[in-house]
This record gives sequence, C-alpha cells and structure tokens, in this order.
Amino acid sequence: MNKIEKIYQHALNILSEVGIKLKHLEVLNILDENGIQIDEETAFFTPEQVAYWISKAPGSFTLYARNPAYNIVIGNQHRHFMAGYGCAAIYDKEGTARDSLLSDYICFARLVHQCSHFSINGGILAQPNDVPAEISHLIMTYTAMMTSDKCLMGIPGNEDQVTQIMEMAALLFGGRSVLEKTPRILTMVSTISPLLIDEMDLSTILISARYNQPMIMSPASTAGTTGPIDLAGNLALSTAEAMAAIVIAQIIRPGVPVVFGLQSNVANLRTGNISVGSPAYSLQKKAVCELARYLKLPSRSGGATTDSAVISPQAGYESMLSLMAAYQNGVNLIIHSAGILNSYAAMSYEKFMMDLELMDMIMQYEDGFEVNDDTLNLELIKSVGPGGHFLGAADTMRKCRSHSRQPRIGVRENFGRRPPLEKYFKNIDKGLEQMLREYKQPDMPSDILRHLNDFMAGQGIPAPVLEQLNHLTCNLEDF
Amino acid sequence: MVFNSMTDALVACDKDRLIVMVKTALEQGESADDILNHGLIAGMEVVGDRMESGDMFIPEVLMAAQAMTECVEILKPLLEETGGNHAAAVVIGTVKGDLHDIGKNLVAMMMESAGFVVHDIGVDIPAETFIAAIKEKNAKIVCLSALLTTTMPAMKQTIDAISESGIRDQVKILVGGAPVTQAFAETIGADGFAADAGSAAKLAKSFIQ
Ligand code: B1M
Repeated sequence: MNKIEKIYQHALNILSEVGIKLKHLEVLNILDENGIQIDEETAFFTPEQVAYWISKAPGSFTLYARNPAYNIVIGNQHRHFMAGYGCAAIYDKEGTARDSLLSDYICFARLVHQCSHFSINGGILAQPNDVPAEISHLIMTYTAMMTSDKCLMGIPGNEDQVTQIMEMAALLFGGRSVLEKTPRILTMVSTISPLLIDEMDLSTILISARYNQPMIMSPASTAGTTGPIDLAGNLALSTAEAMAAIVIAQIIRPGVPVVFGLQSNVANLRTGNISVGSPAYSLQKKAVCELARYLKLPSRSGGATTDSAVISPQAGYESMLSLMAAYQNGVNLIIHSAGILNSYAAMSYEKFMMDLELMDMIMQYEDGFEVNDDTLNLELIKSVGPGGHFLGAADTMRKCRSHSRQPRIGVRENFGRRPPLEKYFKNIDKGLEQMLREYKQPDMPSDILRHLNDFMAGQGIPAPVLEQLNHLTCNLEDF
Repeated sequence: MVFNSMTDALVACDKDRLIVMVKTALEQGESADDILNHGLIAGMEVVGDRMESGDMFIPEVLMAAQAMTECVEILKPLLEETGGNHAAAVVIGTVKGDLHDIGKNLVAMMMESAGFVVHDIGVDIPAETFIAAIKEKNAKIVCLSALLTTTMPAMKQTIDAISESGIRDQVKILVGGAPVTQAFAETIGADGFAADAGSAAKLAKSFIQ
C-alpha cells in the first residue's frame, strides 16, 4: 500500500469505527432509510457504502456562467484561481483593521470581474458588516449577480437561506428545471473537526443537492488542535469528514457534483491558531491532490495564504510557496488565491494586487519555453559574433515587448533615490485604480432583473435599497 | 523555597514531581491555602507569562494546567475544612450560533489555573442557558466568546437577557474573541474585554480582588 492508500484506508476505519456526528434529524433519517448505521446522532459508514456512494459523483463537471465565455471545467487537469473568502475585516497597508462593508464587497466583486485569472465570482468575498446578518446572504448574492457574469459561488446557511439563494439562481438561469440540469452555483461546506457536521452545513448539503448544485466539501482539521498533530493522521481525519459529506450528498441526489476540498491545516502551537504560511500546510495540499485523484474527484485547496498580518516579505514568500504548491500539484480549485492575510482573518486590497502578480508569475513559469530553430537561431548568433551584444539585434527588438514581460506592480527600476517600497505601493494603488476605473457592468436582461428585484422585495428588501446598491461606487479614496 | 520548586515543576509539566512536592509540603505543615496560592497559582502565573511570550507551547501549558488540577484535587478536602476554598465560580461559553471553541477553551484553562472554579458550558449557547448556569453555579464572572461578526449581536442579546433576568449586578461579564474589541465591549454593556487568554484571567482576578 502506498501512502495515499494508507491514508484512505485509515479514513475508512475512522468512518466505520468512530463514526461522524450529524446535527440534522432529516439527514439522519435519510441515511437510516438508506441502510447507514445510526446510533443517536452518530452515523457509521462501512467501506463498501463509502466506495459505492462516492463512485456516483462525477470525476469532473462544467460550471456554467451567465456569460458562456466564462464556463469552466472543474476537475481533470484544469486549475482555477478564486479570491479570498469569508473575512469580516479589511487591513490597510500598515495592517490596521477595520470592519468590511458592502462597498468592499462590491469593490472585490468588480476586481474579480476585471481580472482574467478568475472565472468565478461571488460567495463571501468580504462579509458586509453594515448589512444585517439575516439578509447578508441575499445582498451578497444579488450584488455578485449584478456585478459580474462570471460563474457564481454560493453561501452556506440554514435551509431557508440556501433555498433563497437557489431560487435566485433559478431566476437568473431560466427556472428551477433548467438550474437542476446544469451546475451553476458552487457552495462551500465546512465540517466541524473532529468528526461533526453541524445543522447549517447539513442544511446546505440537503438543499444544494436537491437543486443538483455543486458543493465543495471542505473539512479544515488542524494538526495539533482539531486534528492529530501528525500530518498523516490529520489528513485521514479530514478525508473521513469529506467522504462522509460526499456520501450524504450522493444519497440525497446521486450524481450531484462535489469537490474533494480538504483544507487540512496545521496549528501554531504557541497560540492555538492555525498556520497557513507554513510548509506543512503546503505539504498537505500535495496529498489532497493525490487523494482526490485516487478517489476520482476534483480537488480544492487554499492559495496565496500567509500568517502575516500585513504586506511584508513574510507575506510574499509564504504566499508564493502556498500558491505555487497548489498550482504545481494540480489543485483544481485554488480558493483564497488573492487578498487574504493573517491566517484567513482579513482581506487586503494591496495583498489582492500582490497576489495577482504571484499568479502572473506562476503561470508564466508554467508556460515554460519553446526549443526550435527559431528560438535557437544560429544565424542570430553568427551575426552578433564573439564579443558583440544582442541588445541591438533586430530579433531582440522584434520580441522585446513579448519576451520581457513586465511585472504588474513589482519594481525593477531601482535607479535614483526614491525609497523602493514607496514606488511599489504606488504601483499597487495605480493598478487598483485602473482596474476599478475600467470596470464595466455586464448587461442584465431587463426581465431577469425585474424577477430578481421582485424576489428581493418578497424577502422584505425594498426597491430603493436595491437601487442604492446598484449605484454604490467603490472609490478606494473613500476608505 | 518549596513553592519555587513547585513553579519549576509546573513549567517542566512534571506532574509526578509536583504531586510529591504538594504531599511533602502538607506533611511538613504548610497550609493547603498557602500551597494553592503561593505554590500552584503563583506557578501558573509564570506559566501564563511564558505562554504569552511564546516560551511555552499551548500543549505544554495544558499539561501544566492538568498537573495543577490534580494537585487541587488533593488540596480540596483540606481547603474545605479550613474554609479556605473561596474561589469564585466562572461560567464560560461561546454564544448562540457560534461553534468556534479553541480560543474559549484556552481562556477556560487560564481561568482555572488562576484559581477560579470554571464551568465551561460549551458552544452555541443561548442566553437562557447562560442565565441558568449563572444561577446554578452562583457565578461571579461570565465569559462570552464569539469568533464571527455575525454572532457578535448574540453577545449583546445575552447581556440584555442577563440584565432582564435581574441578576446583572451579581456578575461581571467579560467578552472576547478575534473580532471583538474594547469599544464593542463597551457598547454592549460588558464589564470588560480581553484580547487573549492570559489577560482574560488577569482581568477576572482584578474584578474579584
Ligand atoms: C472573556 O472572554 C473571552 C476572552 C478572550 C477570548 C474569548 C473570550 N474568546 C477568545 N478569546 C481570546 O483568547 C483566545 C486565546 O488567546 C483567542 O481566541 P481566538 O479564537 O481568537 O484564537 C484561537 C486561539 C485560534 N483561532 C481560531 O481557532 C480561529 C481560526 C479560524 C481559522 C477559524 C477556524 C479554526 C474554524 N472555523 Co471559522 N475560523 C476563522 C478563524 C480565522 C482566524 N485566523 O481567526 C473565522 C473566524 N471563521 C470564519 C467563518 C466564516 C466560519 N468558520 C466556521 C468554522 C470553522 C471551523 C470549524 C473550520 C474552525 C473552528 C474549529 C473550532 N473547534 O473552534 C464556520 C462557522 C461555524 C460556526 N457556526 O461557528 C464559517 C462560517 C465557515 C468557514 N468559512 O469556515 C470567519 C469569520 C468571518 C466573520 N463573518 O466573522 C473567519 C475569520 C475565517 C474566514 N476568513 O472565513 C482570543 O480571541
């Protein structure tokens, strides 16, 4: 047995011998009806049951966007970046925190829309603290739909909340029956490690599966706190939790697309917090990809993650290790690829721009270079001859723009006395300003807009609020 | 002298050595009260400081706390005999809707190590459960933890409910958790805010003394 098989076997043993606690009566009943052993709130799955139900899940699937140009395949060799997710705070250049607001949500949605690295928008780009929590899922989803025609991320919640989001997606995409035929809105499900899934996340699975919409099953057991300190044991625990969530989804709706999304962390045992800038975190991503391939499922992991609370050398090298590890190992969905700081505690506009540069660099690195007569070009070397130089060669002139790619924000011209960091942050501001200035809202067909507005009104959100929403600007000077 | 070595044993997480020391000290005529206050609690203060400075790791601090708990068990009957056990009761929990508990558990541990009798009532705790626990345990201090901005309002609801139930004057309410700030604590009418487990225990002590 190789390492991955051993981890998988161990995960199976966890599910059959220890079981997993499920805080949802209806889900427990459904499992019971399907022959899963239930003892009070704990479900025990046999290895055969796990293998049988997981085999129902597709190995890859297409996520459809409002604009078909952004449709993407999730799985196989495809890799997609997604922005930071879930934060309720924004850090400025100095690392000073403030609450994130709806205007931040709009800004990030526009930035994501503008950037070619992303095909998926929405979800919890930043929690709008100025919107009551009970309706924030509606406002975020509406804003994402209005701001962008890329693929959509959903938001987990109770049954009513997830149903509302699914109904909005149905309005956007031509009705429930159309929605049920194609994956359109992708929702992240978290477990509570070790071995518990709460009511909210089980409700999210129940409703998403009923609408046949894809889910990312994302346990985040943390080696040393909510998981065993050894990475092998921690990965097996996360695997067990993800497999249980996948089995539940498949029992509710065989064939519903799911992503094997282990977010297995390590703890900083000096404080008890997680550490996602560490090599041990990146090492686990590698295993996540191998486990996903073994299970024939698409994979998900974290992206440009760091434990630094401010843009700093530490933020740079940790994010690069983490993003590179995800990309090179072939993670299908690389969430938290832009903007995240301080172990998922906050978003930062400056970090967002920095991370776009990391993605540019990684993709350029992955492009490699060609070896052929043109790129070897003996004539060129003959014409320059020993002791000459290539700066003045026509070949160099012809290719100097395409072959000497300039960084988005990085500073290479270190002449003169100006402090280099000043220039760096100026480039960031310029880049942000330009992306937001160039943003153009994609057209929304008027009948769909009317349906969406009626739906929102039905949820108690009056038209003037929506009107205001559509006119909110995101001038970063205001922040 | 013997008390200094207790600190050493605690810092070294050496439970067996600590138990021997406590038993020997009792045989030599030290009072249970002194052993608790000058030996164990003073030792745990050093442990707390070392945790704050990062010199001790959390699992080591937990081991030290466990060692202390076992020694307190030995001292308990004697403390009760002499009426020396007047440790205040603390009720701690994560508020309704919130399931994060790692930080809360650390606060509970530091409170215990500071000599409080801690009743950890868990996560996702509605206001009524807090109130029932305060009454049942005759708590002097209540700690509310929240990690989500979306559950911070539940902190205010809990404090309001405690006021409405007529027992607000009986308890000091402390709040904490990553998104919570001093300013927020003041707006919702809490008595204090602590940014980490060590300062939570210190703050609680300052209210009792
Ligand atoms: C007097 O009373 C006091 C005094 C001091 C007190 C106190 C009480 N309580 C704490 N303190 C203080 O002392 C402690 C020790 O020094 C400190 O405690 P802390 O708890 O701050 O510190 C701990 C030692 C270490 N810190 C932690 O344990 C929290 C770390 C992060 C990564 C985190 C974790 C681990 C988890 N999570 Co959650 N999680 C995040 C966190 C991001 C971050 N970096 O903060 C945060 C808080 N989570 C978030 C979210 C959204 C969620 N989480 C969820 C679930 C989980 C896990 C189960 C995966 C796991 C919890 C495991 C567990 N058993 O607790 C979901 C919600 C579940 C629920 N209903 O509660 C979910 C909704 C889904 C998701 N995105 O994962 C975000 C909150 C955003 C917001 N709206 O506020 C979040 C910032 C991460 C993110 N970017 O998504 C002090 O704050």
